[in-house]
Amino acid sequence: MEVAERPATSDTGAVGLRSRLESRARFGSYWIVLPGLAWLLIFYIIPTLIMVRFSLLSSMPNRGLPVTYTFQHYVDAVSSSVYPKVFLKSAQFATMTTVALLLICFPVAYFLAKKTQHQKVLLILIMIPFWTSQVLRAFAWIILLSRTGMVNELLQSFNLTSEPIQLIYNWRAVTAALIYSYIPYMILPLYATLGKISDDLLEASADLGANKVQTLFTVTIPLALPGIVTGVALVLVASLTDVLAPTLLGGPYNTMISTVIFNIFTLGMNWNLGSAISVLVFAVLIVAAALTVAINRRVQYESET
Amino acid sequence: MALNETLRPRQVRWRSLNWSEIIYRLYIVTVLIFIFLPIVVTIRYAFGTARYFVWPPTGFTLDWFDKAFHNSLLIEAFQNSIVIALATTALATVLGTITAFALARIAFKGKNAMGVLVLLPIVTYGIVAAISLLIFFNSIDFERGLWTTIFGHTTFLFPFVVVVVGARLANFDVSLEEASMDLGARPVRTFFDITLPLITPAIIAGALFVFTLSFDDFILSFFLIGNTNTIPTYIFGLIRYFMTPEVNAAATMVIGISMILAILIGAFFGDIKEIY
Repeated sequence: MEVAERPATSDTGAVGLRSRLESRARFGSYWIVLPGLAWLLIFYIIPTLIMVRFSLLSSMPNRGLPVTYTFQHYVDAVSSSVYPKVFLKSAQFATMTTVALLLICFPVAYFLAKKTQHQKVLLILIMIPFWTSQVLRAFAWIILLSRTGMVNELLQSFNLTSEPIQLIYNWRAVTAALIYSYIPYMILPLYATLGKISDDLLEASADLGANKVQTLFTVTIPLALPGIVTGVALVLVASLTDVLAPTLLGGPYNTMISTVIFNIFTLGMNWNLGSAISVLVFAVLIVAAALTVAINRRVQYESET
Repeated sequence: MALNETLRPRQVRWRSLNWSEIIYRLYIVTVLIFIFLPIVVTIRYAFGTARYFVWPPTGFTLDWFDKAFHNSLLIEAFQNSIVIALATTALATVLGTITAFALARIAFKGKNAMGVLVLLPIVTYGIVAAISLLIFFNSIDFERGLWTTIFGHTTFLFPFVVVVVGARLANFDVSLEEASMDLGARPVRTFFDITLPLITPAIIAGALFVFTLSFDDFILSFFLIGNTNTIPTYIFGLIRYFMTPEVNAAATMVIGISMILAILIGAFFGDIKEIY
């Protein structure tokens, strides 16, 4: 009961006071927003606009050729026989990763939120590996999955295979690495919303005769929807644009859209085309984020009424 | 009996563990093993005597650490990583804290737009972000190096400080600031005497967060650092062409640093639920 009531009262109180503070403008003036705004303008907005401009130029300005504005690179990107396919494949990787992570992480997040008194320690424990660079984690998987690595040796000692099998440089390794990389992206939002569900609601559901499965599907999951939506969005977006998993653990046929961009810019190919593809991916990211916010607002509105 | 149950709920719960509960706990342990296995194996190979990665790792030696300490490229990469992470932390913490404060306490036009804008770098962090900054520095002829990397890291990491500090600002009792100003303290004094001490744990958490993410970043550093390396870009190069347990020795040291930071973050970071 306490848990359910506290945010409501403190919120209205804080909002009332805050608006009073604001209306009197007692706390300095608008100039303190300028450093952050200026920084974003110089290092975020302008670079993004330059990228958009490059995507519309017929060639790079410093090549000495006459430069005109054109949509050709977008036409090339969309009508190409390669890039749309690669994008779909990336989306496929991202979807598999997301579904797997939702299934793996929900029970863990529920355990953290409802089943243990040591949630803080467990949470720190779960997070520790993810504070190390993703490069190192990819490296660790290469060692584990190599021909002489632990997984192959274990498979052989259990007689599951007679000779080492190729575990890396294929789509399975890419998906495994993606799943491993984004565990916290799923666990944290799930844990945050599950932790907010009052135990009273779950008890009430049990008192009214629902069994555990019924409570899970009619009370817990609907109330955890905002966390599920956030987790799904974070994992989808992050794995869609992941560079390291396909570059280090994928084979030549496991190209993702991020690898395409990576190669265009590292191998000095057509930067204008690369910019066009980047702008398209940028648009997908923004749309995904906007959709997430819209869906979450809807879900929260419905759960409140 | 009823009294006993209320007095010792935990023991009762343990006694009533049934099979499904035991399987549930085993599942959690399995996930934890999955999470830690790669890290533990990486560290074990760093102390192994074998030149190649054959399972199981055998023996014990510090040779790979010795080699790593004498590798000038690795040391340079390590120094770069530290310099970039420290500079980024300083810039991002100041920038993030004042922006969070402006968003939480000051009325200004376009505040909602600013609130959205400051979150965009978090959404678009990744290869596209790296590309846009690469093109930007390239087209203004700004030579790539440590500075460009610091600018890039700051841009995409200070929004995290805004989120963490902003959550703290939204959750503390504004009447404390009111009281201070009613008693005649000027806004600047109120900020330093009342607001700042109350949000310091969040600022520290944000700073540690930024340091760790900057230290571990690959994609921005890779495109912005030019001819030199950070630890992640250096190891990336080695993985693709030349792997020895020396990489594991370097990795072990990096993991050690990251773990200390992770525990510190855990200690200073109140509750993730505050942010939602």
